Amino acid sequence: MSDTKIMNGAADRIPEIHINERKPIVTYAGDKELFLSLEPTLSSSLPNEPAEWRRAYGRAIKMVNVSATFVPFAKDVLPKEGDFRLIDQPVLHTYWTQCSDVDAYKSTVREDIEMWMRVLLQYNLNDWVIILVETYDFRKSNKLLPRTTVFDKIKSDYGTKHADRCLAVINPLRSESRSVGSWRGLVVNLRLLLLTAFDRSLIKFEEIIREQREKRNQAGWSFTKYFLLQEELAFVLEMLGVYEEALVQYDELDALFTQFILNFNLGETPEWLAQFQSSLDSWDGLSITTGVILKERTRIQENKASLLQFRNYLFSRQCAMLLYSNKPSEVAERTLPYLHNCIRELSLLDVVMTPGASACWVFLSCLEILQTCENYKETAHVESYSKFTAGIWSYARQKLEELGRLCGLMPGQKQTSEQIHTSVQLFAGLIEESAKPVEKLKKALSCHEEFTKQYLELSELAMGTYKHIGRARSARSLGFDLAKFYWSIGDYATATSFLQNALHCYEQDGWKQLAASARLHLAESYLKLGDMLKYAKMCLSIACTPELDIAIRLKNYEYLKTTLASANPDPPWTGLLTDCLTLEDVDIQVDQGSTKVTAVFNVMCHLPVETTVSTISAAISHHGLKNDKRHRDSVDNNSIKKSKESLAPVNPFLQRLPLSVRLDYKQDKSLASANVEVKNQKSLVRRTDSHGKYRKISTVTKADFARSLTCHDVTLKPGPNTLVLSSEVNESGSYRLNQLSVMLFDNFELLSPPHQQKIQFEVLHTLPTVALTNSSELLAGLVQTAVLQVTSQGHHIAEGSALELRSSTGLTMQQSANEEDAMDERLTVELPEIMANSTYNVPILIYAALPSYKETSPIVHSISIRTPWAHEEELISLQLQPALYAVLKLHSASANGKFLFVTVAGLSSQPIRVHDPAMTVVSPPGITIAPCNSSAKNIVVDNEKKASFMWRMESMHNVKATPVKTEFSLYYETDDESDSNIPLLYKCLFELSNFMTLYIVECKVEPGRGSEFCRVSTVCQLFIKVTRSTDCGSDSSLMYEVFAEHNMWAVCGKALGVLTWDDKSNEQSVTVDVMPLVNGFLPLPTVRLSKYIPANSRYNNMRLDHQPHLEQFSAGQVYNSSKGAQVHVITASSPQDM
Amino acid sequence: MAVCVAIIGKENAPKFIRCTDRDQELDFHYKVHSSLDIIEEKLLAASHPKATEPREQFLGMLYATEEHKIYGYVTNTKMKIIIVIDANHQALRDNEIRAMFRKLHGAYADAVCNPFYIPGDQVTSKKFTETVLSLLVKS
Repeated sequence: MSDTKIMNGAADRIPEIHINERKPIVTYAGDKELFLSLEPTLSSSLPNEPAEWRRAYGRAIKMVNVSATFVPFAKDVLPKEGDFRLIDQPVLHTYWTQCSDVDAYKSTVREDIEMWMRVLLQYNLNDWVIILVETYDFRKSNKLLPRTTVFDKIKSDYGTKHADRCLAVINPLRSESRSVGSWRGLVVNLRLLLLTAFDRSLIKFEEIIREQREKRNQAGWSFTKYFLLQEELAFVLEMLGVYEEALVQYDELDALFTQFILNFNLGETPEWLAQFQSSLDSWDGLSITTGVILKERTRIQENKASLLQFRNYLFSRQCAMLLYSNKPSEVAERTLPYLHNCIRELSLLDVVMTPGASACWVFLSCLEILQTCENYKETAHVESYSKFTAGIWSYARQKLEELGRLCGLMPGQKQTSEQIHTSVQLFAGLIEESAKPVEKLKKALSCHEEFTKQYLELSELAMGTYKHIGRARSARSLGFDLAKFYWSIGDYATATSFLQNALHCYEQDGWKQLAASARLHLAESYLKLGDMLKYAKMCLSIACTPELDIAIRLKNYEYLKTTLASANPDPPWTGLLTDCLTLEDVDIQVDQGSTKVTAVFNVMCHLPVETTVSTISAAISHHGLKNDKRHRDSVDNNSIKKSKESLAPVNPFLQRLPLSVRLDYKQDKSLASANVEVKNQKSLVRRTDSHGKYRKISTVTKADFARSLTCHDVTLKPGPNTLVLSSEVNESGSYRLNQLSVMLFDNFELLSPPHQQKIQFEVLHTLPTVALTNSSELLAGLVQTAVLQVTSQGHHIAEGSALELRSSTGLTMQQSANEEDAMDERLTVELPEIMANSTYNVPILIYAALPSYKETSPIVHSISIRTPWAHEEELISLQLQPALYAVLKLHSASANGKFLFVTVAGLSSQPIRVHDPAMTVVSPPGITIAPCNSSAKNIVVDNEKKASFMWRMESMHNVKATPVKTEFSLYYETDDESDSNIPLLYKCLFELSNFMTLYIVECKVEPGRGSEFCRVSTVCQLFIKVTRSTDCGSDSSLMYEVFAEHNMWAVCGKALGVLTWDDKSNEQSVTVDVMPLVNGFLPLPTVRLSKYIPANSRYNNMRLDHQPHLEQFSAGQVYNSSKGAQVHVITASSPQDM
Repeated sequence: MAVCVAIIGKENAPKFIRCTDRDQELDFHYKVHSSLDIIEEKLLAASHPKATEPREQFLGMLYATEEHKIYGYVTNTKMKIIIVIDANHQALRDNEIRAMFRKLHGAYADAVCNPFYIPGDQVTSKKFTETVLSLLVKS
């Protein structure tokens, strides 16, 4: 047939055929005129709806649009044994008749069908169908007898096994309206039968393919034959529009072929493979078309295809299937692996070829793919294939470069005749001259300008695509490569910008070696551009790159030196310090007492050799005082704060975790588990900003170096160094350590970026201090030695400076050196010259008078000191303990015998000698007292020893009305060896009132009636007699209370009672039953008297509570005459009483 | 077997790179560095809200050149392990490469468990180096 002819011979005329335009072939027999009248309707209605293609072996169901080409039935169109061109073979055979008369059928039609069937049987064809076209006859439905129509007959003759293969249809040409249903049925049935026919033949065919594949290791087997066989299957699938399935076939073939080549080295080489090992004489690129390129296929059939030609054909078929499936991105995706694989296969098979041939092929193929992709302009497609095209662009560019180098077209190269010959040879291998990629290649290889133009165009496209898909690193890396190209065409500016970008990228990612290599190129670029500053910076950076070879570093170090020497910039160039020095830590040290501040930097030097640096300085900035109150303007200052700070960035991994212990308890309070936990995990697992860290500071501005710490002529060794920078700081305030500047070779200043950590120190004005110290407790009433301590701190105090001391009243002072001066409240102390940071002590004597009243708590005094260095006076507060105190007590001996009893005691452990006590009555007159003390003797008192003195009151007139005031005086002195002690007078005033005796109490205990002795456990009687003195006031009621020791006495009677006086008697008696509890001499129970103020008495008028209450008598008003009396108690009389 | 093994830190800085051929070291650096682009791309795709299944540490082949195939692996802490394989070495299957990655991951974990190792520093462990060397092709 015509198609077959095309496949075999007319390849040159018709370059390609489109399989998917082919239709399955269906034969028709029987009533040809009838069929031809129906054919147009049938052809058009078949592909209208998709049919379900149910396939054997449970393969996925496909929806297929079936169409058909109809050919008249003839023996020569039927498939012959061994002919596997499936698409050229009829798959279904139809027989058409419109015989309506049973007799006519029996006589002629049946015979015709028989013959047709016999031919089919002869060819072993089972896919047939008989169609009876009927004219609609409404009478037919009235027929009562079945099985009498022609259709029934046909069915009974042929359709016993295949009822679905006998179809009846109402002729749509005669009565269109009535035929719709039956026609539709026919079309559906035909579709299904057609697909079933395909399925059947494909299964058979697959079996053949499998058989062939099994024979692949046998001698004489040929892959190309097998390929063409399986491709037929792919063709059928393509024809049916199931491109995915067709692609599977091609992919299987691809895998099989690849495997053969991989195994090539392992075993015997099959004969057929030799064809692909033949040397390459053509390297035409891939040609992507949806059709089958007949020329290529014929070549394969004739076993003339080279490896590349075969691969090209296979891949173009795969691409065609993908493009039919609308998957251009997969085409792009498969491209690079395909190209790489082919290159590998060429080398595996040791295919001989002209140098550059494979590069040509790759370049052309890449362009072909890219061109194909560009036809798809929808955004979704562009987005998806861009991911892969970037690599393809880059690959094409790489290959073009290879070709350019080969043909001497790279910038700086001159084409030799040999190279021209190479390019001519390369062109000779390109048969397909009309293709666009070939034109491009030829143009590019024609001259330098074209080559450069195309190379740059490709590079831009590759880089642009990389950037578009977000592969910045690949783009930078390509740019780095491109920079070398620009470099060689002399465009240093462009090259530099590419290199800078690449360097930035590598630095950002922390790839030091890559950055180093970028720097090396960049340095040369700068040199070519004449940017000496940047060149110098780059040289320094290279010299300080430990990743590089030391020779390179030294060379660049020398370059830097010579550059600086020749440029001799003024003002000096500035560069970044970080390349050259890494600051590790700093320690700010302060020389105590001076104004010298020293910063000790530990740095890591990366310079390759020892370098002497003229100046290193660290700027410090002044921030004033935090606390203005501390500011006092004075001449001198001193820096205080000390700190050792690390300058290295903090490694978050090394930070301590804020762990805490958590104990979990069970319900019964026993421990269930003990855990450590981090309460606030969020702060720890929070993402750190990974970009800010690497922000590269390329330029630094010089800070204010007006205040700075400096050192000169330092030699920096490679490796760790210690720099000591110092300066005088003469202004108080807080200082912050800022930028570090290193002056390299006198005209290249390296500046550090600002420190991340705040490193501060503080300078404070401090003034000399004055303090008063004393070795022991200060005592009032004695001359005490204290030490005035003048500490100069950082100051120098000139000779002749004077301190003016002024004390509070009651305190006098004297400088102990000049004792002839009187003690005074004012004192001027002249100071000698006092050096800075030294202390001068001035002993001074102080005396505080004792208070004239009884005082045991410390006395507070203060001394204010005026110094020449301060405006304000300094107030020193002193606490002095009184040296001694006196207490007066009144004792009564009888109703009228009154004694004054004075106790003198010290308050400190300091022993004090006392003597010459005296007591005088100041008022009222008429009272005289007489001492009862032994003649003057020194008594030593302290806080443990007391001295007592007593005076008797002799006459007591007018004592009732006014209180008695007396003055006690005493001489005292410290009890130590020194003779210089002057006795000091102590005076104390006492006041007495209401001390005259009003009541006299008399008690006695007598045995009970009938007893002679007081016995234990026998009730005795306590007689209480109270006598009222005549001087008594009108107090009429008195309460007595009996207190007895509980282990001695049991009070049985009324322990308390009220005594009421009348005018008759001055005496009252009470008897209380008491019982002694032990034997022996027992003190009498105590009786206490109190004033009894009954309720509602006149005294109570003012009171709110109407309760009677008691009032105590003051000392001396009640005289107990039987105080201290005892009674003898003997044991109980009889044991029974015990 | 591999021709180059690289450990890349969380912030994409190399922590350890070793390759068979010293002369090609810089070349491998470029290759490994470029492959970070694809790793980032894959991680981004995996972190997409629609991607529900747990992330696979083995990222498969990142890209290939004529001579080499580059495979990637990412730990949960975003440490990247990259292995470069000679493209002509076809015998290596995916699961063999996975095994290599697992071995490296284990060795890396051991190396950083050393209390004297400061996280973020270069890996200098002798044992780790030995493991890497055992994976590098001996030719």
